[in-house]
Amino acid sequence: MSNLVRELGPHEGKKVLLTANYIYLNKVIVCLLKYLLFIKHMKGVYIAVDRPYTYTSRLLEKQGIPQEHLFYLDAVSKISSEKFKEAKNAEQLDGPFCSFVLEDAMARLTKSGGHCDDMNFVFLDNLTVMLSYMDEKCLYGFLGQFVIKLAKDGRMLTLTLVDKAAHPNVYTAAKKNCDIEIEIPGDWLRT
Amino acid sequence: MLEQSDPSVHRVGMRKEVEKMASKLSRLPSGIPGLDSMMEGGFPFPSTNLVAGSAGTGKTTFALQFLSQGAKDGEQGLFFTTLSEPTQWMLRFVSGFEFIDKDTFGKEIQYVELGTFLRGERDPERILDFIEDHITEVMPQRIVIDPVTVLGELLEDNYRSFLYDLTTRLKNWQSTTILTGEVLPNQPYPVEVSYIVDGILVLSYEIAPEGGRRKYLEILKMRGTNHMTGKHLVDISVKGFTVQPGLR
Repeated sequence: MSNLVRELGPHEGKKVLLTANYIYLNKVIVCLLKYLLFIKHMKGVYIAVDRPYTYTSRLLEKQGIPQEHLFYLDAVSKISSEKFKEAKNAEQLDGPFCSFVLEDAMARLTKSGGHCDDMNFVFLDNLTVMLSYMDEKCLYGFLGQFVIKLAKDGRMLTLTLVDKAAHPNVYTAAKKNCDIEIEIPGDWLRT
Repeated sequence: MLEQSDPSVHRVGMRKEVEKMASKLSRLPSGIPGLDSMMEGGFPFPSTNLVAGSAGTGKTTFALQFLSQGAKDGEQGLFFTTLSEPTQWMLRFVSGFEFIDKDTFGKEIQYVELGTFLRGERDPERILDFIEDHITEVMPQRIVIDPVTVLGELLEDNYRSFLYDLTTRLKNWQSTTILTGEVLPNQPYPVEVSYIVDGILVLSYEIAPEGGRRKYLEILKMRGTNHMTGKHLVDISVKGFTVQPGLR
């Protein structure tokens, strides 16, 4: 945790690419959100593409990380077998497919006067799994819009890409759109 | 009769497709010597896998070795024991295996007595909640539920939907899980579990011509994986569970 905090510390307001082994995803999420929400008291948006948002919500609750300043955009629960859990701080997107994510998610994130208006960070969980739902061309298009539109006003933008060895093309595209890459080795997250 | 099955002998077109598919899946080494070469390097991550067999085929040993590998690699493991054997006695009997590192007990590998909870609980949602509570606390990369089949007797009509919810949630919690399944000697695998898991490994034994029993492992199913088929000889010794691919 302290290693991650040290690396993230000076990068507020910048576009950050995190890379880590996919098997440590839960720990990356917990460490990152603990730092952003609990230590820095920031407000943010969490875009859930890998699993329904309720998993992360429950994980954070168990780990004692407050969520009142975290807003969830759930892109995957419509195609999971699980019912979307209604909550003040959660909205359901129509799906994780290309058109839904590109239009729906982006519209909500950039809508003036919307939930995301005063947010300091956006965390996308996660870039690698999006390839299961869209082709690379769409993914790069989303990436470009995501980064450009949200970085305009100096928000800290966090992209996650795990297992860059498994998806070198996506990693390369993501890296081009970021200011800084932080590689999180397993040692930082191990028991 | 000994024969060698070489997993690299495939048509070129299919091989490329499989390699493309394989590169997209993260994999965890099984910890079982000889097994990873049979399934493209390890279990997909995340995934749920059934290890089925009758008594004495090595299911629990397999599962512990799987967790021990994770502990060696710096990962976190959770072992849920149901109503087969208390952890106390299970550990006493396995402590002699060379792969066991007692320093990991209670740390890299955490043991949870699900059986105690099951004695007073029949509500599938509460059982799932109990399991998830431990998962969110520990954040394991590897999970074992040993055995899962005992839950069928307790949950009856709710068993199928429970298994569906369980396997879905286990994968969403980002873990590779081994569910062990008890079967009778003439039953290959528990049918209800087989439909909803990503992988099925069957442990069996046969009477050898010279007397005694030979133990075997067969991969019946492994989603997203070009795996070896057929029964392959297994050895269980003080070193643990070992597969000898190609030996039948």
